[in-house]
Amino acid sequence: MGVNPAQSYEDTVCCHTGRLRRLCGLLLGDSQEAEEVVQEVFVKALESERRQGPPADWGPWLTRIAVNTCRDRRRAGWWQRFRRWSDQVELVPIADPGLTPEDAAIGAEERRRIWEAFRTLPDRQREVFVLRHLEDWSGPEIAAALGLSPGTVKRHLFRAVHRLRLVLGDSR
Amino acid sequence: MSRCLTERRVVHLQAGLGAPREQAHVDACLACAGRLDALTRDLDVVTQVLARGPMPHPRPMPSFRRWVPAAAGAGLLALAALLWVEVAVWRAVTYVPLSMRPEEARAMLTEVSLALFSTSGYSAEEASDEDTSVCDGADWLVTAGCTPAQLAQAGLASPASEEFR
Repeated sequence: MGVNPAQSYEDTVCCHTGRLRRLCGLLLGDSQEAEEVVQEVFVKALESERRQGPPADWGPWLTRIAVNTCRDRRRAGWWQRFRRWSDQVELVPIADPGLTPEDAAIGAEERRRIWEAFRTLPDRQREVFVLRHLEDWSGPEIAAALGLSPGTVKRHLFRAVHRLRLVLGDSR
Repeated sequence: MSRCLTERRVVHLQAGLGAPREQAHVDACLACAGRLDALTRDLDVVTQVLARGPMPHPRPMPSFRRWVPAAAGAGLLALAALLWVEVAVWRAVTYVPLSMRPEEARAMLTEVSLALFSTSGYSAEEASDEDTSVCDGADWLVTAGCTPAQLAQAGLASPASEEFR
């Protein structure tokens, strides 16, 4: 590697923290827990980098670690899962200063319903949907990262999209 | 022109996982093109909310409401365990003779009741002998509480009735 590894790691943390926080928040449904997981991801990444050297591309590598760490976290205990399942999504404030005009056009109720529907998706469907539509990964990349066959990825993606569209259909 | 695509195929195509001939069909079919556009619009809304909108915080459910289903589940489990013990375990460890004649059953029950209610120092056998002798002797103290009909049924005459006769 041409640059100082420590410097490279610092840059990586700066570049990817926000994205990973969002990703983990989506997969776990809890922003506080996502914050903890992101810290854990960077610790794992640092350890792995020291052992095996830096990856060719930090982004997908960190995403893969984040997805796996979130999955480990979800498996941690039935009580945690039960809590996540039983908690309700709090209404998003309509007059959020960070909203773009496009975001503001989406009603608060519709927004809440989308979040509710997304939270009720099974873990695999949520992972596949996020990686395809938010991280913009291709089908084969998702299949390789999650250890699934391409057909299974397609099936999970279709079910996730179908359920999310049902919510949109109801609200329109 | 080929048949219109199923919803599944449209979703796959929108995600870039479709076959070239499906794309060719959509290019030629207005209905499928419209469905693909509608799906793309819906997914734009969903991704916009999920990727850029403020992330909501889960509002914890009140603890009593959380405990209700947990307690109900635990109760059901306990009930199932009790039933299982009764049906499977208890019957397996309890010896039930396959066939027992009525006199054997009566003798066993007598043994059990005597063993349970005998005073200390009496064995079941002694108590059984003593009881038999009293019954055989038609002692009026023993039969005092019986009605004449009961005594007649047992083959004993009421001493009181004989005296008064």
